[in-house]
Amino acid sequence: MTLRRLALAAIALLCLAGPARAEMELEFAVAPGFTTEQIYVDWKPLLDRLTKDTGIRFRLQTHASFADFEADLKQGGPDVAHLGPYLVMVGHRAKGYQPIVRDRGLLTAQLVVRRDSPVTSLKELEGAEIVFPDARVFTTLYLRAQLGKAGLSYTPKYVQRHPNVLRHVLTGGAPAGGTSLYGLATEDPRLREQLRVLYETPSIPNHPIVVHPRVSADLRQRLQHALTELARDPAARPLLEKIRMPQPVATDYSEYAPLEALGLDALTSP
Amino acid sequence: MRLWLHGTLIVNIVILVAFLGYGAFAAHSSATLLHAEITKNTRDLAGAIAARSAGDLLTESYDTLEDGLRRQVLMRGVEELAVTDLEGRILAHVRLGKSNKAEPVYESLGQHVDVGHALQASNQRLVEFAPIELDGKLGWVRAVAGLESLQTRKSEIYSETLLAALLSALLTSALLVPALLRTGRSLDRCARFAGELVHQRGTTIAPSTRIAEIASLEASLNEVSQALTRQHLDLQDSESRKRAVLQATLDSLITFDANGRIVDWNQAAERNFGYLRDEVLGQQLCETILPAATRAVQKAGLCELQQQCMAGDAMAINRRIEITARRRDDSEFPVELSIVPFDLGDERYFLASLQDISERKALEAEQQRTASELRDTVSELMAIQAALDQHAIVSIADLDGTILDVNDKFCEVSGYSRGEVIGQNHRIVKSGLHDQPFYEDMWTTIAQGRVWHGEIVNRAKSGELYWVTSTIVPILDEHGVPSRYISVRTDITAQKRTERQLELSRRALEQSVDRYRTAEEALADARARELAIGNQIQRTLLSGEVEDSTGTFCVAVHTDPSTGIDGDFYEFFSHRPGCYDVVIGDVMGKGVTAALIGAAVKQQLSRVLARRLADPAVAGTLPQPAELMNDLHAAVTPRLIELESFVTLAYLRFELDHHRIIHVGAGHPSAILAGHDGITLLAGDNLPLGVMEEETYRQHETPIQPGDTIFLYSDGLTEARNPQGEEFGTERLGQLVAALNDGKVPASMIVQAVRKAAREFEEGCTVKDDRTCIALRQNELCSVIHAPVALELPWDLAELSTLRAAVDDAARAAGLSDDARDALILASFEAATNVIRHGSERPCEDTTLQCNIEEDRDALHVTLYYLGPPFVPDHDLEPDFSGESESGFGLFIIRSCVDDVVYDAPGPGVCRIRMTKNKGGADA
Repeated sequence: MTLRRLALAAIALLCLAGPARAEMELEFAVAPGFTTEQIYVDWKPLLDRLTKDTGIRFRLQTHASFADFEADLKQGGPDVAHLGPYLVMVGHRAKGYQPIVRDRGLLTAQLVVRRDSPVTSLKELEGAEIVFPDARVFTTLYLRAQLGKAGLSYTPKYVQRHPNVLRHVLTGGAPAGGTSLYGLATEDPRLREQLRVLYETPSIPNHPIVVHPRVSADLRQRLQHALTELARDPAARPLLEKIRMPQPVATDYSEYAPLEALGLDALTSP
Repeated sequence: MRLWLHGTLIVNIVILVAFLGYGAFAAHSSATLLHAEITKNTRDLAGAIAARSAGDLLTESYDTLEDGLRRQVLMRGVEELAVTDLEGRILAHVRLGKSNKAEPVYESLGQHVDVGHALQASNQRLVEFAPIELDGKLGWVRAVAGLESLQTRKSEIYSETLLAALLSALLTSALLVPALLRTGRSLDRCARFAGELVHQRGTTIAPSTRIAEIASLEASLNEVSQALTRQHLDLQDSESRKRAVLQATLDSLITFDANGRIVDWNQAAERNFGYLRDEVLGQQLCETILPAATRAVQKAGLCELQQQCMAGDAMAINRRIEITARRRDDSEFPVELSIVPFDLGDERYFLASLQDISERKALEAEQQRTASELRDTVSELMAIQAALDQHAIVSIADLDGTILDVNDKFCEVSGYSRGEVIGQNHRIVKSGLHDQPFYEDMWTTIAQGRVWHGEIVNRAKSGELYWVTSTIVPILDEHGVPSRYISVRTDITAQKRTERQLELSRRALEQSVDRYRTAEEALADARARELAIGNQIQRTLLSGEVEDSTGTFCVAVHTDPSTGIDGDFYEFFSHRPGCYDVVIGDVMGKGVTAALIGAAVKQQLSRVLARRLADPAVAGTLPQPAELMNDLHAAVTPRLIELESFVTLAYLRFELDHHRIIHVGAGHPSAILAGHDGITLLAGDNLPLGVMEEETYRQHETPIQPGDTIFLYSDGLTEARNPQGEEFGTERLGQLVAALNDGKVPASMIVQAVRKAAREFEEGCTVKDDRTCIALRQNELCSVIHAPVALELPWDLAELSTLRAAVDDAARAAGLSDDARDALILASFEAATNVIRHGSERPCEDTTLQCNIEEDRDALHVTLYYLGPPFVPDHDLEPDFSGESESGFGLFIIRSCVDDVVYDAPGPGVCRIRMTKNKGGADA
């Protein structure tokens, strides 16, 4: 009798422990600003380190396009996500996603042209075709909002990713292309040498990591703490640089709320 | 080249050519294959990429296209991949990087490539295009392959072929060289044997190889050896005979070829030249035997002879020429050379025969020198004999004194002919005037073989004696015994006669000199006496008595006598106070006569004056100077004309009461009147006395004022000359007198100052003429109570008592108190002492110190005049009472003792100290 009880108790414990460990795995989505391979190469080592530091396991999830990603976000799919400021706003409004960490550096978007391009001002792009990564990428939205403010009329063309934007500009597919500081920084210096920044937007807070409200506060704090602590470990520096977040600092939605006033939603439809 | 080397080289060259040919073929084939492979690879790769890239191209995912290219493993040879659109615009581009990985190229993005041709190729690279199609053509894949690998492959094949060729050559050489070496050695042996046959005649060579050709060669060589041995023996006999002949000769025999190279050299040549035969064979003859210095010239001669011989000139062949040859030790010697040409085979050779003629030359030179010396000696002896015959009396006598020979001079002097004396004894000319011991001494000397010298008097045939100085030289035979005597004499008769006359003359001269000396002494005494008389006359007869100065009129006179006696004279006559006559004259010529004439004229003047004064007709009337001069003229001129002399004279009458001078000038230098209006010369217009009897003398009148000075002088003063020959002159004198007069200098100081100026002007030149100076000065008497006292003080400290006495008298007369008197005396004495001690160097023996003492209403003045440089006293100088210095005491005492003292210079060279003692002060 006692042995049976003991065995049941043990099973019960094991059963209890099972869901607990299952709860420790979080789905980590990264907005598709780069190719899937690149996202894996960049993010997998960091997530492995976070697992080691927090005991939380992550499942890296990518999406074929921003539309997929946005739809998934609106449905509250990812537990944790790395995304641009516009999607932060979208996620927050849809499911209450909360930013926990962002890079200390601020984000700007740039409009680039070929180095040998005759274009020297925004006005010269009047009526031209301008390539952007994706209609929903924050860079695209932010830039378009600023270009709209400047009163420039143009034909936007979306070529999915930042590197493709730069190559479209280089191959002459479009006279100018919108990209971010990160989009440029990750490129080969020889490629950057062939480009010239025509316009730069004002700075805004950078891409954050957001957490779904269903993730417990404890986990959220552990994750935030682990990420901010990584900044102090020199060994973790290459990992952070790969995900373009070399100096993680804690953040919350209040830093991103002002974006709501930019009217970015209107720009999401191509 | 050696046989083995030759063979090996040929074989190896063949191997190398074969291998390299094969290598070229293989390289070409291999390159062709490789090219095909690369072409296929490129085409395949382009196709594969084209198939894969359609989707990305359709979605314009250029970054994905680039990724695809980057991940593509590049196949062999492919260097570049690119994707373009249909127009050839490059959308993605990668290139083979450093680490053999594909690296993106961004510079070319957007550029266009020509896609018109599917295949483009060149030597360096291969370009392949593949279309990208998906429901139609979308774009192109462009693959570029480099063809450098083809060249690399070719190079590798060439290297391998070359290595194989070298290895083959090495192996072939290893097999070939030993075989060829053995054969080569056998041939070498044969060659050496053949070469040595000349020296090793009769030897044979042993068979050394199985090669038939070489064995046959060896056998032939053995036969040749035998034949040579026989021929050589025959030749040797012939050569030995010839060489024996050549070596036996004493002459140097040298054979040389047409080029002058020595081909034979005999033993005599070895001895004569010092070179061994082996050393000179093959050497150039001329360089070997001719001295460097004369080589060019001698060589030309030698060549000429050689040419003549070659041309067959028989004379040249037999000709012997003398040349200077050189030994090995560079010593030179004369040789006689002849050349004989001969032919040997086709060659022309020459045999040169050289005979050393050093000894013969030396002998000839010695003979010439001896003959020359002999000629010189003979001609010298003949000259000596000729000279001797001209000068000396020579005779040769035998031991008994029998004359064997005499010269012409002997005959000439002795008066005997040669025939008369030869065979006679020398006694024939004996004079008999020498005593016997004289002759014994002579004979003893010469009999002992010694030379005798001496003077002998001989007797000529005429009986006349003649003197000779004789040297008798004995001629000794081979035993040293006299065999004959040669007597050489010189006729000294004339010399002896002259000596005698000279002696007589000397004695006469000595007597004359004694007499002359006596006369000279007498003359000197006479001159001394004359001088004394002249001086006496000068002092007594020529000088006049100067009237004492009256206080209103001062006179000073001085005569500087020259070395001789001159006729300067002067005279004073005082007729009444204020009327005086002054006469100054000069007689032409010097000596006592001039002095006596001067005295006589003075005497006569006194006489005519006395006569006029005594004339009752004009009693009480003073005769005028012109009257007196005319009387004097009448009295003396006829006498002076007889004596051929004349006298210059100036007669001046001072009439001070009438303020005038009446003067007559008779050729005397004009008196100088220095007054307020400057200088006036009191010139007369008459001739000197004694020139013309018809002359009438006229007088002139000139006014005179108190304070004027009259200066009279003789021409000795104005004609004083300096070393440059310049005269002192009347103008200079006049200016000096005027300056002294302006300073109111007393007459005595005027005379002294003028004399001093004249002496300084002369700068030490001898005084040639008497100088008489007379200064007369009329004092200005406006404020003076008594006539001033004028003292001439001697330049001697011991003689100053006169001054003391004079000042004492004047002070007492002026009524000075005892203290004031003593003070004035002390000051005067101190001043005079200082002047004599420090004032000036004493100009001359008779320089004096002039002291004037004047009294006016208020004071007594003592004034000292002296010659010297102006003195400016330092009034601030206080005496040094410490006793360490004596300076300043004199001035201090004078300043303390008198009421006023003034130091000044009233005229050129004249200084004055004027001390004033007030009477009032004395009373107080």
